[in-house]
Amino acid sequence: MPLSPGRLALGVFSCAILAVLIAPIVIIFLVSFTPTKMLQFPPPGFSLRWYEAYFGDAMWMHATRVSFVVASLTAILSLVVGFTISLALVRYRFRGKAMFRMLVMSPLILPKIIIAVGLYFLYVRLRILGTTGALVIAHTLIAVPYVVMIVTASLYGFDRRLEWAARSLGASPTRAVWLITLPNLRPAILGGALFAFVASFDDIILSLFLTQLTEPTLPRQIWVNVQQTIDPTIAAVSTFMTVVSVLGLWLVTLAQRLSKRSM
Amino acid sequence: MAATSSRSRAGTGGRFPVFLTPVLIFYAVFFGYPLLRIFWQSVSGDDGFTLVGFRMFLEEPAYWMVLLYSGFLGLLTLAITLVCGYAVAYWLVTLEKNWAVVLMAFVLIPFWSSGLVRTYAWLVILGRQGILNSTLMHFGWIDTPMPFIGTNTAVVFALAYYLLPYMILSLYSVMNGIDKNLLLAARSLGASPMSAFRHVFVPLTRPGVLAGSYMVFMLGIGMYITPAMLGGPNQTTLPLMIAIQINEAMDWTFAAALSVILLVITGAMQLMANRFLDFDRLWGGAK
Repeated sequence: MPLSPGRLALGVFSCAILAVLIAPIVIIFLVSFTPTKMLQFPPPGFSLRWYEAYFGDAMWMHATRVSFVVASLTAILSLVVGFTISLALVRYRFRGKAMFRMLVMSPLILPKIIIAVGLYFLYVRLRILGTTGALVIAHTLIAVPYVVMIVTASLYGFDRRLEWAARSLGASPTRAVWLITLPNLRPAILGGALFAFVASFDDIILSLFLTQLTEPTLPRQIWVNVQQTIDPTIAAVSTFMTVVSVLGLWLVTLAQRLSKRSM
Repeated sequence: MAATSSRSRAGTGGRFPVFLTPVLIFYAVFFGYPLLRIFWQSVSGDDGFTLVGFRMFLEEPAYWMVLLYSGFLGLLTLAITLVCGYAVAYWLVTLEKNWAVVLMAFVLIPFWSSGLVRTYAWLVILGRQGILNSTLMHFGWIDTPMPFIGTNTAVVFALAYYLLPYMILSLYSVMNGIDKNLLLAARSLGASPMSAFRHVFVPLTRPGVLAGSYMVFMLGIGMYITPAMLGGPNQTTLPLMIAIQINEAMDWTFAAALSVILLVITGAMQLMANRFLDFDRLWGGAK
C-alpha cells in the first residue's frame, strides 16, 4: 500500500493509542522496582524491597492465599457446571433453551453490582455471608459464561462417532463421555478452567460485598490499602497480579490453538 | 462432517436433559432468586409493602443527576472508544500479518490484566503526587500539583481506557473477516479509495460496531471501581450510589430500588440489542 499522508496520520494516531494502552502497565511494572518510599518515575534505581515487603507481610500473604484458594475452587466448580450446560446446549433441544442460555450468559453483561447486591441479600438471610463457599458460588456465576463459550465451540468440532464407537463396544453413555469425550476436549477444558480462575482472581466487586475484612481476597486488600497509603508495595502486588492473569489467559490462547490444530 | 452430524442429531431430540436438573436448581437458588429478591426488597419496608424507595428517587433531583451522569458516562465512553477503536482496528488489519500479531499484544495485555490494577495505575499517574504532576513540576511547567483526581476528565479517560480493548477486539475480528477483494472490485469499478471505504468497507463492519458498542455501553454504565477510585463526589454513578446505600446508609430498600432501576435500564438495552445483534456469534454458537 502506498504511503499517503492520510495513512501516515492513521499510523501515528494508532501507535499513540497503542502506547497509551500499554503505558500504565509498564509504569506500574517499573515503579514496583523503585528503591524510594515514594512512587517515582522513572525509578531512581533498582530494588526488590517492595517485593520483600509484599512476600514478607502476613496480611498480604493471607490475602494471596485466599485469592488462590477461591480462584481454584471457582475453576473446578465452574468447569463442572459449565461443561454440563455446554453438553445440554449443544446436544439437546428443550423448551426454554434460548431463555436458559440467556440466563447463563447474562453475567457477562449484567452490572456486577446487581449480582453482588442480590447475593448479599440472600447470603445475609442464609447466614453464609463472608464464607469461602459463598464467594466461590458468586465467582462461579461470572466464570461459567467463559467456560460455556470455550467448551461449546469445542463440542461442535468434536467427532461424535468416536463416542458412538465406545457405546457400540458396550460403554454406558456416562462412561463414553468420561472416557472418550472429556479427554478429547482437554484443551477446551484447560482453557475454560484457566479463564474461570482468572475471572475469579481479578474480581473486585463481588469480593467487596461478599467477603469479610479479616478474610479479604487480593483485590480487596489492594482496594483497602489504596484508600490509606500510596506505598509502592501495592505496585509490587499489582505487578504480581498482572503476571498471573496475563500468563493464565495467554495459556488459554495457546490451549485453543492446540485444540484447533488437533482437529 | 462431525459438526453437521452432531447438529442434525441435536435436531432430532426434543427431550429435556435430566442431568441439567442440578444446574437448574443451582441457578434458581443463586441467580434467579437473588434477582427476584432485589425486586421484592425494593418494595418492602419495615412494615410491609412500600414505594418509599422509588419515591425517594423521584422526589430528589440529585438522584436523577446520578442516573443522567451514568448514562452520560456510558455514551461519552462509547463515542471515544468507537472513534479510537475503529482507527486502530482498521490500521491493524491493513498491516502485514506478523506485525498485526505483535501489536495485538498491546491490546491483549491490558485486556487480560485486572481492571483494579489498571485503574490503580491511573491513580499512580494522575494522583496529587503522581507521575504526571511530578513530571510537570520537574520541568517547571506548573508550580503546584494539579488536581486531576476527582474530575470528569479523569473518570472518562480511565473508563475509555478500560473499555477500549473490548471495542478494538470486536472491530478487529469483524474487519479481519472482510474479503479485501471487495474493496479492489469497487476500485476497479471506478470508486475512489475514500468512496470504496465508505460504501463497501464501513457497512460490512456493522456487526463489529454494534457488538463493540453494546459491550462498551453496558459495561460502562455498570462500572464501579473507576468512578469510585478516580472520581469525587460529583462523579457519583448509579452503581456507586447502590454501594453507598448498602455499606454506609444501610438502606436496603433504597439500595434495592436503585438496583431495580439499573436492572430495568440494562434489560431495556438488552431487548433493543436482541433486535440488532447476533448473539449466537457473540457467545459462540450453541443454538
